[in-house]
Amino acid sequence: MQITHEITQLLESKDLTQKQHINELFDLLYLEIKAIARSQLNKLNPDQSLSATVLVNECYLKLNMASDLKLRNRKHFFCIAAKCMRYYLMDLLKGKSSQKREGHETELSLTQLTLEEELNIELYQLDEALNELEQIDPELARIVELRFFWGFSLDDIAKLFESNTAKVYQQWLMAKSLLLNLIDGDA
Amino acid sequence: MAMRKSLHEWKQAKEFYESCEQLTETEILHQLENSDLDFAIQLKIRQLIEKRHDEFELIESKNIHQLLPKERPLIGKNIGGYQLIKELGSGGMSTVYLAKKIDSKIQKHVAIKILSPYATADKYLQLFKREQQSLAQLNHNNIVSLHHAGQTEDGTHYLVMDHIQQARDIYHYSLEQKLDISQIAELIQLVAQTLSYAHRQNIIHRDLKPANILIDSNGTMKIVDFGIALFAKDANNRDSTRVFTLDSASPEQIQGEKIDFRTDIFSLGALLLQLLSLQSPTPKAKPSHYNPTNVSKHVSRLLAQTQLKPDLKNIIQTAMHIDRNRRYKSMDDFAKDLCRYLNNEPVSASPDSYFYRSKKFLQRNTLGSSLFGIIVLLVIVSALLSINNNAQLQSFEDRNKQSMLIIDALFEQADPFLSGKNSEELVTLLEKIEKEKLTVLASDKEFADYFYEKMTLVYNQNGNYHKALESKRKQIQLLSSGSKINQPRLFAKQSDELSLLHATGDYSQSISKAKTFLAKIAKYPELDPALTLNAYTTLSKCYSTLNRTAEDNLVLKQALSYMQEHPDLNPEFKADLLGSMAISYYKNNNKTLSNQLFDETIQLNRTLPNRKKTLVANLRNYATANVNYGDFAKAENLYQESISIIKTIDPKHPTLASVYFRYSALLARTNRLSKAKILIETAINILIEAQDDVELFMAYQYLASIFLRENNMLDALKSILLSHQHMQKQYSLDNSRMLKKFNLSMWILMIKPYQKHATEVLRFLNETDYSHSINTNEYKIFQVQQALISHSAVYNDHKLSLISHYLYDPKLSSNDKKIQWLQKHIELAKETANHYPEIIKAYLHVWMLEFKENNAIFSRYCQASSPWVNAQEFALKINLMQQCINYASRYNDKAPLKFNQVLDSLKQQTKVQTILEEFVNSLTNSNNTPHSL
Repeated sequence: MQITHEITQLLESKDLTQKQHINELFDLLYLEIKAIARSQLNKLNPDQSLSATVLVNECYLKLNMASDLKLRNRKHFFCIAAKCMRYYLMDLLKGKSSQKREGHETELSLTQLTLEEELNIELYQLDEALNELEQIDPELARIVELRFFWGFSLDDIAKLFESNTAKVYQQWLMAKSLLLNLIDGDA
Repeated sequence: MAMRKSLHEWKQAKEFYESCEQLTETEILHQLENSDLDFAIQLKIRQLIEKRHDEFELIESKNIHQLLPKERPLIGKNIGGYQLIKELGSGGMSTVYLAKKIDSKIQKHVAIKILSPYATADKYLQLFKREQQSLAQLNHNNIVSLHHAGQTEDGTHYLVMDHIQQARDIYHYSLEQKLDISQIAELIQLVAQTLSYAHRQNIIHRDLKPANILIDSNGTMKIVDFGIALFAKDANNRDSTRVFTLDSASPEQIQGEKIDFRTDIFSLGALLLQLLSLQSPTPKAKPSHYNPTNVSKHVSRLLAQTQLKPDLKNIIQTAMHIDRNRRYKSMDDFAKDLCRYLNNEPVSASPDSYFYRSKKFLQRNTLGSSLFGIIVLLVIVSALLSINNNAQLQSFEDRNKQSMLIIDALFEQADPFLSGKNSEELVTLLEKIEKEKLTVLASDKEFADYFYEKMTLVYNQNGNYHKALESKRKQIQLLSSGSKINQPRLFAKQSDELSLLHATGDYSQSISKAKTFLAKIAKYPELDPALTLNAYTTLSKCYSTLNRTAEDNLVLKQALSYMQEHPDLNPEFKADLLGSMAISYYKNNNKTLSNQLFDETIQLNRTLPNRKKTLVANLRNYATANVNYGDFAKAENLYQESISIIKTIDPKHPTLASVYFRYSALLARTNRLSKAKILIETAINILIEAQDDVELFMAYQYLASIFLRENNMLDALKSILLSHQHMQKQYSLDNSRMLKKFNLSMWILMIKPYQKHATEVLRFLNETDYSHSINTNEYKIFQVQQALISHSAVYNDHKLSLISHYLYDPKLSSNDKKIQWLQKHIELAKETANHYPEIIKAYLHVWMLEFKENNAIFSRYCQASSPWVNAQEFALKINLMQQCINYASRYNDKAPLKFNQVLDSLKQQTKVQTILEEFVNSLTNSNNTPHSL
């Protein structure tokens, strides 16, 4: 993965609070995660479902982010990674994947992604609501992404944010409430 | 970022809640009642509290990965008596596997297509069933044959088909085998014939893409996946599901209209284009925002970038026409036209004309047996024979009337503007005639005179001035030989020679010959005054190009007074003369006289019949002058007048395009960028259709300017490269003019990320012959650029547009500010002169060379009304110089050897120090008022 070096540089050298750099990082990571997710999904046994933890570990290892990274950067990395995962999966859902044109690669097609129509609709709504939540309080959106799209537990998130589980749990409740309201509001 | 009102309210609600940290919910609600918050916000707070207790099953029970099922692969399973061995590929709703018949001694492999178990049952089932029927009907060597179809116990539908050994799709096959153009055309012709068969069985393929046309190990082509083929009678069914690849989909498919056979024609045309251009044949677009005209623009653009013959381009454009009534009527016609193209026969897609057919004829037959040439020869010979039989000399017209008629017919162009469009076929024919009739030309003076006159005209129109000059000289040689010399005619042709010398850039010869000529004809006062005036004009143009202003002004004065002495001049000639003098005066900064003459000539041309072309040219030039003076409103009126004139004659004429892009420059200057862009793009489309390389070269430069203005370096570079491509197609001509145009591109190309392009361009330039332009400033600049490219020190790391900075930096809004800015840089240069590497000094040399003699030019550049392109050049150089200065202060580098050589030669011609000083002085002394004219 030749982009690894660039990602490392970005994470270590630049001030990640600047939006521009976050966007750059995002662009780089998105492709990486797509590639990783794809290879992960292909390897699985028929009977096993995809484990987010496995995916996370794979990503982490492959991107070679050892404990060298400053804590603040780790948080940013995972926030962005979770966002990438969200976008990637939503893309799949919306059938926007360009892989169809590439021809013969095995890929989660639209029909394989979800079991029912209902689930699809719910995911769409969640996506929209998350966008709105982002505007209200970005940190809450991050928490939801990290938990639902990336698979972290609340404990993991607390550690990452240098906070405690109780606090994160309160934030989670707030996020959930807001999301539900936002979804209901539009319905 | 603006937030929706309700979101803002939610935010406030949340903040309120968070501010009540330790309170219980009841306490919070109590607080709420006592607050004076907006009602809407209060409501939201209540809702927040309420929903905290609700369940959000989706995100609380699992994470998304636990929700995704994984499809169970089918490898190894038994389907209808076949065992699946491995997956060959998958599409949107089906997967194809390699399989082998169970318990059979025959080891033959088949391909089995299985409908995806997750696909919605009913919709695709219909399609699937149709596939069975249609394939069963088709029996052709180039179509994959269907064995049978079936359904397993668990409801899986499948098709059993031939397996294609070592199948490669047509795209990869073409790359692998490195197929050339005719091989590709042949292959597509075969596909077309095969599809013609399918159409006759009432089957439309509907999804022709590279992946569906396979080539097996024997090189046999097989069309597959008639998977969404519909019977023709079902095409009226609007509910039919839209499943197709976007790349080669026809406009009607994307827009969900009725499909018929012609949609396959489009797709096959797109496929052909894709194979030839190796790029996507249609532009990327969302179906919701689909605009079919973008398709034809995209196709034209792609074709313009290729080296395909016009016939093939026409075939592709016919097949891919967005209006299906304008496409081929049947696949059969498409196949036949391809066949004709391959055999060099006239193609139905190309416009029919006498020339076209004769060109094709000539191409099919070798030189010796050229029927056309023989005809002409016969006519000439018979004409000559008839002379020999008659003692009398017949008149010029009678004698060669027939051959003249033939040649004149060749010239028949309905083009009122007589633009310099490539008339290759004309040139080829004339050259053939010249070769075959050499003896005739040598003996028949008058015929030869006429012939060479015409030949010069053709080369002139083509822009091939060197060849035009050659023909002219042959004509002159002819006229000055023999016993009976027609002096007036000889003089006339010598006068023509002068202009051609100027056109080829041989200024010194042009000047000396003009002077001699004027001296000679002074002795013949009864001659046509046009000859004298033509000589004056040529002199003026030469002086003007060489910046010899004083001499130029003198000549113009002489010409004007001569004109007044001869009031009975041909009005058309007079108008032309006034026009070119107006330009000369403009170049010499004589605004009053220039405007006066422009007004006169324009008025004259408005009244004379058939002067539209010149009128438009005058209007255009006058407009340019006005732009430079800052009289934008006047310029705009002039542009608009020319546009309305051309539009009434032909809205697709290349001249219209050239007005458009000059007008767009004005629009860009007056901050109407979007309109400017639209105009240039319209212009480019017109020019692409007209295949006018000469103007396309200019148009892309203008487009590049606009991109630079938007800080879009990448697109600017792409435009410049496109411009170069078209430049290469010109015969050229005046190398110094060409160099000047290249200079701008070269400066831009020196910016670091685009270095590699610079070397390419340089390579091209090195292959051109500059023997005529060595003395010009442009050539000197070019040499410096060459040196600079090899010395990487100059490369600029900034990605910002330097030009934009100079021209549009709000801090540099007024003229005095700009001059101050420049002065500051010059002061800096002066101060650090001792620490400069040689390279920077050379830089300054070049800069000085351009401006040292004419302070007025510099002032003009400083004014807001500087010429668009020149101002960019200037600003770019200024800023690059700044980079050099910065670089010098950081390192103490030595210039490479090559560079010192250039520097030495420059030093011999100029003295740095004095010039710098003079220049700075002149700047500090000059006011901000424009140079008095």
